[in-house]
Order: sequence, then structure tokens, then C-alpha cells
Amino acid sequence: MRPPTAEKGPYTSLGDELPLSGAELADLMVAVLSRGRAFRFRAKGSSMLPFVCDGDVLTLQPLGDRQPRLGEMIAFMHPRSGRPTIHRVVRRRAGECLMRGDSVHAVDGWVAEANMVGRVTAVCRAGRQIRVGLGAERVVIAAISRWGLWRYLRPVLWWGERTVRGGRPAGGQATDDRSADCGDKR
Amino acid sequence: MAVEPQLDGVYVPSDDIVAREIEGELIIVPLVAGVGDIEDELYTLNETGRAVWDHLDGKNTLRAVAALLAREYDAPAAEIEADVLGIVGELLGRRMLIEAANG
Repeated sequence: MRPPTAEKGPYTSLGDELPLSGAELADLMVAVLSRGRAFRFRAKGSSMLPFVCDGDVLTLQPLGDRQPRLGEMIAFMHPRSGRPTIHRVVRRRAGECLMRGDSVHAVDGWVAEANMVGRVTAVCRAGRQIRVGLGAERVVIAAISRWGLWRYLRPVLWWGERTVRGGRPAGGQATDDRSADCGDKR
Repeated sequence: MAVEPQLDGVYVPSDDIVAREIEGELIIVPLVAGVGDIEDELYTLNETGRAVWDHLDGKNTLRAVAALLAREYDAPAAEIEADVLGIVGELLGRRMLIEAANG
């Protein structure tokens, strides 16, 4: 038998193309966050449009001692599917939160804080940090999301985004002060 | 500064990584600067790296690990020792391993 050590280095490689299932992603997420560290990964799906797009890179921080607040985007295990999900807190009561994706038809239901693993603290899109939805405005966003109105407001947001982009100077520098360089390593 | 592993040293996975086996492959997420970044910093070990990793239990010296692998694969111990040092050197350089306190 050929010894495996006949293989020469490098012995580690970046796992760029490694597909992770929801359960595997959740396992890694929980393992990292439970160490008190942040977790950075690429989001999939469209349930948080317009604030998180498919392919955005999200940074989660452990919840720590601070309870989830109204309007925060929280990673949790979905009560029905059991899959890791990131949606918004649209209502709170003792020990649990009502969760909803900004662009989905129905709420997820009440989720116990024990089933929440982290909060979104940064959204990076195409190398730019998106801050809209992470500040105090999240309370207003939550109120709109609670009533499922983002679906109807999306055309207005789309028009606004195009207007902002159209106002950029020739160098491509964003005029929108709610975005900043993500400092991506790639 | 490169860290040179010693054959009589004992090495263990660092606390600054999360390692998981996924579909038979070992993946390692270094917790660089307080972040587990699976977008930019998710590593896999090749077969050689994995064979050595599995024997790094905090008790075996690298010489003992090499002897175990030499028996397992019926290969010359000196050749295996050189490869084990290469693998452990790379993993130390990536801060995925540390020398065991009692090593």
C-alpha cells in the first residue's frame, strides 16, 4: 500500500468550493459562536430582500448577555424546518421573539431565545458594507416587516437604489454614506 | 517566524480553530482575529495531512506518530518522519496546531 505521506505538501487547501448543507452550516455556526467568536459566511436565498441579497457575506456575533432586540436580524433554528435561518425580530415577549423574513408572506412563528445563535452585525455586498437595517432604523423596518409590507415597497426601494447609484461620481465612489469598504481579503 | 516542529514534541489542535468532519473530509475553520470566516478561511486537509492529524492526540510524540504510520503503511520510518515534520510545520505555520503544554 502506498503510504499517504508519499503525497507532498501543501497539505492544507482552501475549501472554496466545499458545499455545506444547512445542518453542516448550522453546526459550524454554533461551534464558532459558542466560542464567543464571530462567524462570517455567504448568505443564500431572498427572504430578507431588500436588506440582505443572495450572495451577501454576513457577519454574525454571539448573542452574549444582550437579548435580541426589535428589528435585529437573528440567526436561529427554524421551529418547523429545523434549518438555520436569518430573519428579523418583528415582535418580542418574555423569552421569545416573533420572527419574519422581510420579503416572505408568513411569519416564522415565536422562537425561543434558546434557539437563537447569533445576531447579524455586518452585511457585505460586492465588497461594500451595507449598513441600512443594522442601526436604529431597524425598529421602523421591523414595524413594516411585521405587516409584510416590504414586498409592496420593493419597487420604491429599487427606484431609490438606482437613483443613488446614478448619482455616483465617475470614479464609482458611492455617495451613499450608509455603505463602506468591507475590507474583503479576496 | 517559522516554527520548526520537533520529533520529540507533542502537538495538539489549537483552541483557535473549529474542525469538523463533513462527508469524510476534515474541514478546519481558523478563528482568525476573533472571526470564524468560512467565506475566506475554510481549509481542508489532504489525505496525508488527515492521516497525521488523526494521530495528534496530545500524547503521541511526532516520532511515535511516524512509527505508527510507518507500521500502518509499511513504509520506511525515516521517510515518514520527514513527511510528518513537513505536515506539522505547515499546520503550525497556519496556527492550526500548538505544542502540547506537557509535551
